[in-house]
Amino acid sequence: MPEQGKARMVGFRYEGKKSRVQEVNLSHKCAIDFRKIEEDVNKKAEKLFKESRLMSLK
Amino acid sequence: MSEHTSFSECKYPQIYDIFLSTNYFGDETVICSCIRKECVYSREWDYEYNEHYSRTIGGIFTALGMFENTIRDPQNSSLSDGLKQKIESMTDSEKSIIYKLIEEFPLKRISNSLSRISIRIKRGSETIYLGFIDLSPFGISEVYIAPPLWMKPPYYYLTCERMYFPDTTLRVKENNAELVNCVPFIKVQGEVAVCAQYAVRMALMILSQKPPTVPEIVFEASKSALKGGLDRDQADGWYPDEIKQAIEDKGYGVHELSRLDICPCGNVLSTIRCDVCGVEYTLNSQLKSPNLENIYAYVESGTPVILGIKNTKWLPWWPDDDGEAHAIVAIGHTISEDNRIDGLIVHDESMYPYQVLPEELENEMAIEEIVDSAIIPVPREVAVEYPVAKGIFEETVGKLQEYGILNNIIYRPLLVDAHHAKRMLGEAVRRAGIMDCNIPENVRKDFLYAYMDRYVWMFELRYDTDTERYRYAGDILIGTKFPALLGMNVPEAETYAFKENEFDDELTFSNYSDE
Repeated sequence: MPEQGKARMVGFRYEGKKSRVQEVNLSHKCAIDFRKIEEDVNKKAEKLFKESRLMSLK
Repeated sequence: MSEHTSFSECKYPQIYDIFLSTNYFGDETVICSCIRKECVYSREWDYEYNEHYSRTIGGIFTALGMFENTIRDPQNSSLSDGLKQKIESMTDSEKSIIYKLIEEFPLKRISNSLSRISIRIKRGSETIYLGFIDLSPFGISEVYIAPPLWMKPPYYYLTCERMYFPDTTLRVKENNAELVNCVPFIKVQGEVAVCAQYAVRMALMILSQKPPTVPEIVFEASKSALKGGLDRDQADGWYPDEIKQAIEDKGYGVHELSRLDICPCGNVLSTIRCDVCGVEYTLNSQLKSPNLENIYAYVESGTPVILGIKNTKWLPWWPDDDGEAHAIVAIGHTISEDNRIDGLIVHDESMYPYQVLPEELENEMAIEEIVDSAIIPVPREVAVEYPVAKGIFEETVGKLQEYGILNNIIYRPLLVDAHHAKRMLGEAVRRAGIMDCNIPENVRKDFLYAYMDRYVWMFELRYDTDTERYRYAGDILIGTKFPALLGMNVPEAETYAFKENEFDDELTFSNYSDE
């Protein structure tokens, strides 16, 4: 039980897509293709934003 | 000053009702003192209220005049002969008592001031100022009182709480302002408007020191009212699009979360079709769902959320009768013993301040099932709604997890302004006073010089360690003007990214060891 008066941090658990884990050596500087991740994420972001806008029209 | 050991002895029954219904003092025994101050002006007690009250008083005044004329000259009245005879048979002393009563009838004049009740409690030798409650001729009006004594961390978080020194407060002494830490509340005055208008007013009171009055909100909304215009009965309340309009009129943007429409046949309408080309789009209900997480993201950021409730009978502090649709304002949240967000703290302007709406109600209904819609006033620049930002965040973390990092994480979403985000990333101190972030100095410096939208969605990450210790896992920043990644800090990959200039198409990625 938390101490009375003490602040706590909460949040939500994110489990994610573990089934697609790749074997990478994180000690290698370029092990993760961050640029590709950024591109893919921003494409998905546009799609989500459009979907959300579409729902506002319903 | 009136001092009493129990609020049941309070001579203002409506104030007692508020303290009783919020179980304000819990198990504590305190001595309360109320000071009534006259001639404190409130913006709520303005021309429109005064005019409404004047009409009522005018009616009473006219009726009393007619009554006096009837006593003086009964034959000239429309009374029955029997009554006329009875009045004529009254003695002069009996008549003079009636004249005196008419003369001293209490509601013949309206005061230009209202009464403000300042409330203090004594705990042993300590005196604590709780705040004040305004009484208008209609009853309780604005309430600036601190949260109930037991409503505090680690189980209760009033994220919309601020330090208030309302501009209507008189200073008792030089350099002695009566400041109060609270979430302001206002009680519905049915003669003027109903819950939706007061919920809008209350949300604006929380966001701004000088919000418009309810009559001003109603008047402006009537000018541009979407359904019915000026002919609409005020007792009808507002539709969500009218609430949105009223908030936008005051310079805010509006985010709205609401359920998908349901056909009378019971089918959820989850597709829309283009009338021209016939293409059908399937709607993603999660992008607009008024669920606990989507509401929490705004409340945790200090933004009040107006909740449209399907039926008051499901609210624990309302009677279980037939009920009706209602609007309340979420101002904080609760945390369970096992560290989950398990409810919202709300102000119900028709009933009481500081009520707890648990994640699961006694009848086993969840918050999601009783909330029909959520309307959130946000800065105009914030175009990206939380569910969209969350989708972008999930996509980012999902991609990173494919590389075997950021497993078992807990995220905390926050809508913050850029300087707040930069402070969180740029300071070497413990975050929230409890989590060591250990962000390298060069990384902190780059974030201080980075471009950010005026507001950003910040997802703070930590590892789910099942211990009391908080282990920092990084931050993901999402833009609010345009839906895109705006930065990240991933200590596990010793990598961070930020935008150097507003018009850069790509982020600048750097390794912790880069100089």
